Amino acid sequence: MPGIDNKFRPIANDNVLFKPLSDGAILFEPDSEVVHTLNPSAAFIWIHCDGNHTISDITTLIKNNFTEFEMQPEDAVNSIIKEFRKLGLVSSE
Amino acid sequence: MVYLTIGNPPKTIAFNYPDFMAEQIENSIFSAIISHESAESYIRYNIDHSGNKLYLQRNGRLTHQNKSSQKIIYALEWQVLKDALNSYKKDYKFHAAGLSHKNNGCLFVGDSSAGKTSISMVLMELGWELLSDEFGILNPGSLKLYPFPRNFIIKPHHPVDAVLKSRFVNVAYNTGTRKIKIAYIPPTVFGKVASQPVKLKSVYFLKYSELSTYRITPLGQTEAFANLIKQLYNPHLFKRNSLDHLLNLLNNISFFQLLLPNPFNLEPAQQESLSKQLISG
Repeated sequence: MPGIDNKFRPIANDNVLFKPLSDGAILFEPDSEVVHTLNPSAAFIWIHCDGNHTISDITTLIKNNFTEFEMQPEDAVNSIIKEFRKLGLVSSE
Repeated sequence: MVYLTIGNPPKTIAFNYPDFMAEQIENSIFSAIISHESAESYIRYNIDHSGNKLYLQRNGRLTHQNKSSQKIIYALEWQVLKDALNSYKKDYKFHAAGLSHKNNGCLFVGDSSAGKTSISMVLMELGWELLSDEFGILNPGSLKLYPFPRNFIIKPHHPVDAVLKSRFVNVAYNTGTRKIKIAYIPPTVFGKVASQPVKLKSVYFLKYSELSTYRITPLGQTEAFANLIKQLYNPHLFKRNSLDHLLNLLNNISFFQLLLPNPFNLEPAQQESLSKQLISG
């Protein structure tokens, strides 16, 4: 799998169902019936995996919308998108 | 002949057995819910005694034969358990105890040894009714909990009073690595069992605590969901169309973590206070 850089525009897989919760979200893959739970920042990132936003854009949005981070926002966004990609939940154009 | 009514919709199972087995049937793990009142049955178990052997049949088909009546009872209990769980096909089955107080249902979800049976016993003594101490059966549409109050199955390490344990049937049980004696204690020893479904109000995720008191903390929906699916016996119910049921559950029920030491070691005032907090949850 090629690496990703700040210009990478992730697109959420159409088959994956997104269900928002009060403090995060659920992703459901109907084919495999696998469920993922997302914390609020991961849910926010998922919503912006629309092919219009680059990783750099998403990082800026995260910085503007969240105040507490467990790691550097750049690292957090990269790490979550890499995980989404590894799981086949997002791709690029 | 005795009868047992379970399932959603309710169905009756009938047991026919030789007279000398009456005591064992009455003390089986379903002792709290078996009835002598005749009812139309959809499954009929028959135990026949011929020569020195016992023959267990389910709807006329032989399923087990053995010289030992205890082994036949054990086989019967497992088959009925399977029938019971099959009779709630569209309902979620959680590894959980279910209890109700004034028709408000609570699920106590947790791993083995988290305290499901102990909290059930303590709360029953405080007036709660038992739905189940092992299988929390929940209809995801109506959010109703179904009663399945079989006997408490008590392993040797369980903190319930040893004298009480010794009063009830002790059965040899093979854990795979060793044989232990388990006691079946009817839930009616501690209080009432529920006979009708009740609406679920709160879910408590049990976690054993070394502290001397309990602690209740609210849980967010995401964590609640992750904890719930870990304790589901039938995760194949997760389909596209059942996600909405789950969201219904998450949106309408309160979820908490309950850090719980051995509830028998709590002072009576602490037990009362725990009961009150659980009711208000």
